[in-house]
Amino acid sequence: MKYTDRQVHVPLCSVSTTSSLVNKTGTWKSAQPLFIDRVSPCNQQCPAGEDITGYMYLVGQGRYEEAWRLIMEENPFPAIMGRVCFHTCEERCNRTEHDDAVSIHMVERFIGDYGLANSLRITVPGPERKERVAIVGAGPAGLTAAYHLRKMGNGVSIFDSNQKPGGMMRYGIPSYRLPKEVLDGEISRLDEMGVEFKIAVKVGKDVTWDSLDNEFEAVFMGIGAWEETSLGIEGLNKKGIYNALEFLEDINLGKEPKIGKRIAVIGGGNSAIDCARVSRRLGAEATIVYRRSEAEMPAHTEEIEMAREEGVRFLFLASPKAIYGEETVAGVKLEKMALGEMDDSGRRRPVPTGETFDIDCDGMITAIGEATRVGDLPPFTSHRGGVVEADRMGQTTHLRFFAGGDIIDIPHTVTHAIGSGKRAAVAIDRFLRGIENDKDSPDQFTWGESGTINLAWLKGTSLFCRRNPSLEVVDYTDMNPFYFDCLPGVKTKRIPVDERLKGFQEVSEPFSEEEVISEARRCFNCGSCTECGNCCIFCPENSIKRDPDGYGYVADMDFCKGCGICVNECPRGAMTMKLME
Amino acid sequence: MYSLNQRFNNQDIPEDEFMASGNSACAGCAASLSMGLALKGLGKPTVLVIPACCFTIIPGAWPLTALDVPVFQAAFETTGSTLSGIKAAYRKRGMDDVCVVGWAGDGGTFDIGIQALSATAERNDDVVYVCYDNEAYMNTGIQRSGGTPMGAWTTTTPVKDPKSEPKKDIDEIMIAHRIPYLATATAAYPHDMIAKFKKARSIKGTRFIHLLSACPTGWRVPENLSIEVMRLAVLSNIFPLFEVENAEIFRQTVIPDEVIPVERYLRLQGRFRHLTDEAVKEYQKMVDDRFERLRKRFEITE
Repeated sequence: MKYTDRQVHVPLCSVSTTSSLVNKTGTWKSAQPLFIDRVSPCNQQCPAGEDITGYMYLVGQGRYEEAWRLIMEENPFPAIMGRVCFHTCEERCNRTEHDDAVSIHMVERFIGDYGLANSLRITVPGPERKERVAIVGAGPAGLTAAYHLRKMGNGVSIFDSNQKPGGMMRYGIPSYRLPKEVLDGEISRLDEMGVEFKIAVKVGKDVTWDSLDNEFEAVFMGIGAWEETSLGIEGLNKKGIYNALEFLEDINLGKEPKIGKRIAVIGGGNSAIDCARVSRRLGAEATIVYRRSEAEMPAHTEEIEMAREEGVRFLFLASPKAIYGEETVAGVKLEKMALGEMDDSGRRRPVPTGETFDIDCDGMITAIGEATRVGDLPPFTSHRGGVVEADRMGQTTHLRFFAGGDIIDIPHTVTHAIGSGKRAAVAIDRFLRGIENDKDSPDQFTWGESGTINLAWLKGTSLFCRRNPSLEVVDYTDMNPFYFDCLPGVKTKRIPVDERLKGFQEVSEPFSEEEVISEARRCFNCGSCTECGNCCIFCPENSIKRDPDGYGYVADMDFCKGCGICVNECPRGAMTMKLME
Repeated sequence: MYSLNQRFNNQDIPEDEFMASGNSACAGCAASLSMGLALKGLGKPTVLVIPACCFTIIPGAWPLTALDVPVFQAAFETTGSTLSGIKAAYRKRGMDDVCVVGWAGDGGTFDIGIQALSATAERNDDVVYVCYDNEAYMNTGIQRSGGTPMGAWTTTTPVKDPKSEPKKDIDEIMIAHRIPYLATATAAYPHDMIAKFKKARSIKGTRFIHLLSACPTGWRVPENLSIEVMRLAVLSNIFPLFEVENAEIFRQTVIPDEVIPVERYLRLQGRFRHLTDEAVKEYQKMVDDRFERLRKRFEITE
């Protein structure tokens, strides 16, 4: 006899013989669970619109090539970005409220390097369409616009007045932050994609803007900000005085600028830090002179920290008044400043006190900000003081002209430039295809206030499964932190200071594969399903099952009573309750 | 399945399903979830004995059943003796591999069924007795039971006169019977719970498993928080998860990273809403004292 045998013909007592599956308890509910894909805070604030949670998921499983391809959907330069981006994503990481932020940039750098080491390539069909787009300026914005337009099937020609493409990435960033072979490796991929490079051609001089306007269906301007703001004091023509852009350009071209042994660097931004750190590498003493205090410095804290490690001195609340010396610099007269009211940037304004003092130096670098050379802009674009007027997507008042990078009103960083190049590429593609921006606007796919577009969401073709995408942002309170152990993050290692000062060797060391995997696995993957199985295990109705057609789970609405346990127990906020009508 | 950054690897949960959808438990009921998990741990062949309790109706009214194992409906006070009888019958028929499991509520265990349970344990009959403890007579409308904690509101201990006696310590009663295996478990820790049911199945003699089982209706908590509230009970040491072998080896199986104040557990529930801060402090002391008594007996592992 079998113990399961319920076929009792003459039961001694009442015996249940029917499965409860006939009892459709799903009719009881007033709210139903929904699997959604929310935007994580890191993704939301990424100016380049990368799907960070997506590639962390793939890296955690060792799927490096897929991770690389996922980044390449949005950003053509992961190896560059992993090095030079100031990773504001890590400041927004939900993990900071748990233990330490995930070291996103180091994972990205590893993936970028993996792509370079394995010569991964993006294949694109030949130009499908006869329309051609001109890109002026081969900096991060222009190259990104070219990359995306080429992937969208447009023919692209890129003009640049310098001898090599890269813009500020090549001529502005010292190689201890971004080695040149990484830059060359990432840019060479564009060459192979069929982007036509017209190098050492200055638009406005060798080619006229009008001829571009006539020859091309659309033009993207990403000419950057190459004019150093003048300090506005006398004696700036003395020997030993450089401006930051000239100085860094000379360094990046391998020239040895003739500076002294004691350098005063004027300014508080990242260029000032770069100049001071380069000066240290040239064997000079460097002092950064900034008119506000450290808290107001626009330079990134990590950069300031590394400059300090390398022996850069800081002099705050001081502003240059006069330069001593006959032909060469022999000192600077500084005025003491005090902090006053808040200004428009939300920082306290420096107020002169009238009190002066002198510092001794035999070289000076001014790094107080860069602006666009107004003369380089086409005559028909409207701009205000070198900032080109453009809409959210980069379209200027001259409709076939689009702008991006440092010439529009965005922060002057590589990452923002990449984001603006991508936005403009989307806008140009839509412009060429005659899609009006009002209808079906890409706004609905933008993340955050910066208007970042994630193309995979826009097209619905992410390599990482994204079902039911929503623009809601997940914060720590939407997660169930119980399911995550507290694990300290892997710290970035830097080479010793004496090694650094010997030359232009890269300062931060790469993570090992184990470290990268452990960091990627620390990622909460906020807002996206990783098939952890909690919803399924905790469902008292047994109504959540694996999706037979693919990724994730489905809830059987015939039996779901709408208790919402699955939503509460989802570790990463990838579910929500929806009230039923 | 990817859960490498998670505390638990859910791949370890068996995929077998012995409880079908369509049960008639309230939304968010932890008892129906517990049954599904328990059966994952026990596997087949298993026979259930269920006295009068919520689980009389949860699998469905006649002729429905959600359970994929035979169920015997027993009278309220007879779970223990029915278990003994059914086990004896199976043994007589040469089917000693059938695991006979009693599944009773706190009323049917702490109060009404304690005599029969005690007798079964005294005879050390080869059965598993599971008490899913939702801390009141929930099926009949939230009346106070011996399992109701001190200070809790029920329909028979109203807010102006809440229960003044502490919860009966059924674990100590069963330990005093020197049974081969006793464990506490909760569905908020499914891995721990399944492991205990697996272990229970492998042992001979009377095994007792005490499950904390949240009742959103009777505890006055939102349905979606029933796992959360059970988790807080464990994290605050109100319901520590441990096992006891032969009344000798005591082992705490889930050690909270950080013990949380009982206040977080109490304040989540409407049935404790009337408690003053003073009463919460007393409650904390009571929980600490009880845990301290237990802790002294826990074997030091690691």
